[in-house]
Amino acid sequence: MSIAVPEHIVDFRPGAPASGNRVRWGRDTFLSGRPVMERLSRLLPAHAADLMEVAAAAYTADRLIPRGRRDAYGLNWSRRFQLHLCVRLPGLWRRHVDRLTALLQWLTDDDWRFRFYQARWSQSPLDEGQGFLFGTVPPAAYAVLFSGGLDSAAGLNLALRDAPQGTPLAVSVATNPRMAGRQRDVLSLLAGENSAVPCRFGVHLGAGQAIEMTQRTRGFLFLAAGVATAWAAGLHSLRVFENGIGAINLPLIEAQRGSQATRSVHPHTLALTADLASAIAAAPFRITLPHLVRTKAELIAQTPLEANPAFAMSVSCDVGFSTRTPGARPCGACTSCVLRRQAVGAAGRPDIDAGLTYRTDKVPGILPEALVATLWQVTRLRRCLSDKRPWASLAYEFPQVLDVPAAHHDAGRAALLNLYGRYCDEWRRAGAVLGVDARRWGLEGRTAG
Amino acid sequence: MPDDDYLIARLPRRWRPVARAVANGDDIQVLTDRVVRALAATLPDIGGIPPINEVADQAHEIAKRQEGELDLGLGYRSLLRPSDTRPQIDIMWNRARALLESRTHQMAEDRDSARLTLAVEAVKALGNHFGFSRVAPALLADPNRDDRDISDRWTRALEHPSIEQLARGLLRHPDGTGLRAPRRTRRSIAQLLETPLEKL
Repeated sequence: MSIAVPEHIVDFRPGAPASGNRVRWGRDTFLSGRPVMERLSRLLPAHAADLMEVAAAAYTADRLIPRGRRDAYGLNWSRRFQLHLCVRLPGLWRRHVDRLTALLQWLTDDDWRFRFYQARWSQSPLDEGQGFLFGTVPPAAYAVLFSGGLDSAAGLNLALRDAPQGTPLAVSVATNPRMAGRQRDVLSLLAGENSAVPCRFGVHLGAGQAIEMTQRTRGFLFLAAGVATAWAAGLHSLRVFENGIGAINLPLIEAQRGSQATRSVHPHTLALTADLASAIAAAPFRITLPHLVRTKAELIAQTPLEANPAFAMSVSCDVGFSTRTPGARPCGACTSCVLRRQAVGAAGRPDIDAGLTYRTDKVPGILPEALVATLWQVTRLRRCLSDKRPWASLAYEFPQVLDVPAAHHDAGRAALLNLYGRYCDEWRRAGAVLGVDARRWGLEGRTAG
Repeated sequence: MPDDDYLIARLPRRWRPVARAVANGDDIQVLTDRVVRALAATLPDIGGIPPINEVADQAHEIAKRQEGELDLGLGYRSLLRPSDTRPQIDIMWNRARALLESRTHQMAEDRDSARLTLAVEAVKALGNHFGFSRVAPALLADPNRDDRDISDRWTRALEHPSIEQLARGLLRHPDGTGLRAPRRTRRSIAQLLETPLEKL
């Protein structure tokens, strides 16, 4: 019963035939970069605008074509795409298309092909007629990704504290107005108007077009926005604030394969994106993950208590931004909510979520599926770390850890073992926040690592 | 970041009897028989693992270089991933990487044992992927169940010699066609009476 995977041709060219998956910029899918250009008073360079449009096109295709879910074997999780797209520098993109497809395949488990065509003026969503006389990029500017989540807020808070003379360009992508509003609120509480420059791209599909909810290309969209903004500001690096446990995101259960455990800001994703960006610009580009060897709780614990109101505004829930109901509460049961609740508890900062009520709150004796899966992962991690050869045991049980570039050298392996050891200990100390009985889950005693 | 992680709980039809055996705490022999039968049916269903011999041979060569310290420190990183995007390919390739990192010496010994080692590991991993890890979270949510007991019974089922026989069959039929469950060897009453309790 092996399944032949059909190829989905998604055509973004103006004048593409109406049959099949034709996508028209400004009608079926929307990309706006005008606010970023106005903030910096700079146009996006051609390769930056191309990168952002390529990412928005991949995101659109990803959301248009549903993954197969009826087959319990999961043979049709992966899809095959062929995208036809006009860009300003087609020769450049053809030369580096292998880097682009490798990144997308890693992020999505899908097979990607591209056909690039020469764009004519004003055919592309980021074409701007009017340039700017004087740029307004602040001195000592640096680019950071800012999603409006707890990690990006905590990371930005620490960056502002550690380098008060610098000005972060807080790059975000909003795919709906609720997300844009929340990003704006968190940023203004954290940094105010003068100490950070909000650089927000808008991307969304037309009503009823976004069928597929997994949206594994979202990570590429955010990173592309960060790289494009950095290029526009004349910078060659980008910082991503995410804790190590979340960034690496080892599968919780063995039934998850590949991108089913999201890889949006996995260190390998960042390495592949930096490689693509360096090739496209013909100049080295760095993407750093400064909190790779910190847990989420440790990242929060580094910040001052005064940051709590901003953190309280941040959204972690997987469905937190997608719901259209004003004042909707986070679910409390998805993997992102579970990690946030654990981290807030382990960091000793319950005030952050004191005003928050979760839709699924503690029910004695009943644990949500994502929490059980997380605890099962922690149990397996603890067994690996208490083995005589902890690294071999961890690599055997979670071979996905080998995708982390730090796993390629002894110091990195030691740091990763230590990270997971501390993370398991946090569960021992703070599991009760989520109603976890430490004895039942074998979490008593310190974890090696 | 965990961002809409996808947790599959749906069981393939072939694995439902296995789930019942795990949930009911059935005898280990019953559980093993059901697991082996489910695996033997699943492998042809999913089209086997066609590149398994080639990946095992590649892993063997890398392991030999690692043992001889001739691999420039690349190790598992030089193992090429087949372009096939089906889950079983991903699972097998991950097992090959895991073996290179944790059992280099065993993979370096000889080509045939490297093939068998990888096949056994891949078959077990498919059992975890399609079976145990979809059943376990629901069972473990029940505070009256002992997670160590559940996972120990599962591990024992996967250690049964029938799994190795199935793996040998997979190496002969990498695309799964014609693969059958090994015949069950029923022990006579006399044999059972002679068998120590812990071996039952």
